[in-house]
Amino acid sequence: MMAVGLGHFLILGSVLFCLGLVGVFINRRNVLVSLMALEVLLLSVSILFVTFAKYHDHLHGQIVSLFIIGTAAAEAAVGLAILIVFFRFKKSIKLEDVQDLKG
Amino acid sequence: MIFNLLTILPELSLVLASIFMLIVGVFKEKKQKNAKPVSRAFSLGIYIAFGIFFFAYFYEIWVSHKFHGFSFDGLIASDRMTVIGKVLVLIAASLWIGLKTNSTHAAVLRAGIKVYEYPILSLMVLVGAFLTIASNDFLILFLALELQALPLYIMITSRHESQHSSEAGIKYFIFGSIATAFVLFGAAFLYGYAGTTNFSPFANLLFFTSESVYENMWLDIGFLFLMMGLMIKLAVFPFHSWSFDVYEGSANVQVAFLITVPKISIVFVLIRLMYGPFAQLVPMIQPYILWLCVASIVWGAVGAIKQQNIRRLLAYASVHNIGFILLPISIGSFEGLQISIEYLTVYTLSLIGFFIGVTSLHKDGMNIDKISDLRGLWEHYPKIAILMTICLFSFAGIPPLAGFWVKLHVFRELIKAGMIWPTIIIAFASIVAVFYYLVVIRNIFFEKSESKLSKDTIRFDILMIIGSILALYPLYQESLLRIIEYSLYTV
Repeated sequence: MMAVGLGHFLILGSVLFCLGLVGVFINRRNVLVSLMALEVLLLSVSILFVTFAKYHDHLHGQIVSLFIIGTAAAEAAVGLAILIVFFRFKKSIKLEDVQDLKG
Repeated sequence: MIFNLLTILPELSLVLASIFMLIVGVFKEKKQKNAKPVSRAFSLGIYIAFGIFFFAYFYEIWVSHKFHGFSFDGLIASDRMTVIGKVLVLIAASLWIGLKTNSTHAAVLRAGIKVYEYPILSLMVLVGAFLTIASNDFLILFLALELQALPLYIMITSRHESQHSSEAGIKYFIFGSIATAFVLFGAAFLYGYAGTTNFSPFANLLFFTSESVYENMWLDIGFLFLMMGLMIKLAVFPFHSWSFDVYEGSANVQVAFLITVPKISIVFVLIRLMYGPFAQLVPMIQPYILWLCVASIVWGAVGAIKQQNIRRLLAYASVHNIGFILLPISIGSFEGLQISIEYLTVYTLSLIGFFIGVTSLHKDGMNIDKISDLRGLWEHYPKIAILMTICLFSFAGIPPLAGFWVKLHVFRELIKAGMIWPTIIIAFASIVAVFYYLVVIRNIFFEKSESKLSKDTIRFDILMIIGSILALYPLYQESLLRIIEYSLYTV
């Protein structure tokens, strides 16, 4: 049986990060999905920090990941607030409606 | 001393001021809030207290040099470069904070920003920008970038009558968050490489490492993503597309804030990173940064030609000028750093001058939106027209003005470093850029307007000072360069 090691966790974090990026850029339907993808972006980095903290065997990275979780919550709050303001104007949160500004 | 509060005195005073203003705001009636944000005496008190605190900070770090180095266990840097960065940010921000004593208040109201929290949010952005400049640790860098960005997202969305504002807010939010995530991803891998998030150990680690630094995958990935994140925030060429929509959807007063304060702070972080900890890695990424800068100079010049909206035009101009600011950094010499900060100073001053003019004007009760809205300025307000033209000519790089000398310095540095082709390309690109500044000037002077332009009270004194600074640049450019050089010796 193969042991789960450092490399696996790094790949997990990186793949989640890429999934978050894909979720932001490929997503054509919903702004809310973009917000969720942004959360995935931040939390995947949090996984990476914890992994590296374990690898170096000290606590610093774990503390950083706690800070990341806190900040991600603040960011989600701001994002949802912006989305509510947008919804009041457009009565929709579709990403096609976020295209008025062009030039 | 490890915990020296003096090194974060400006930030502390700003945080206290914003908390006090929030408390005052809670006890205010709703009607009163819209009428005036804070009383004149109160905002004057804030200015004076902040001035004293900032002067104490300035004196201790710059003049007496007593607390030089790092504080808070190496988290906060307190050298002369942070001082010069904070002074620049302060110059850029002080006019746009939107307190009661501010003459841009009328422009703020006309833009539909009627929330009480607006000046408080701008104070928080200022705290974030200060901490970003002073950060010496990836954790602090990340938190400061977020502190700088989150209030900006809210500020942009806070124009309740404009639907463009919320769209700009969503776009700025998404791209800003991606940029922060990139910075964090890079920081994670650099932490994996070094086992520390502090900047200072990296310098020794990279200098004394036995293996080639180019072959360590964690280091390369980390540094690459860190740079990409910062470049998204700066809107350098391949990552620039968000800036146009965001700037167009915001009000003029907001753009004046948005185009200067976050960018200055991030340029200073880049300088700190590339000349402190990662100096060994700079040769690796230098050609990429060089050609990205050249591309953004060309793109900012060519793309702006057909723009009608004044903020969109300035967004292209900022892509163009960010290229000029990062080019000397990418050369990798000490003079390059000085010239980059010099260019940043002159660019910020020209922008402020131009925006003071633009925000004080309005047409039919609306803010200036299109370039054609400036028609007839020369007939009605010749003094403003002349001073705004000085700022625009300084952007364009017309000889006696400051913009010409700093561009000349950039070219000189490039040629000294033997980069002939980039010099030729950006010289042609800046000729193209002159064209669209001239379009604005043609609208100001030679076109007749159908409806009348009117103006609010304008800070004419400040506009005059900026105009004379830009016009008399050769008189003091040596001393400015010497100040910058002096500040950089200690990094």
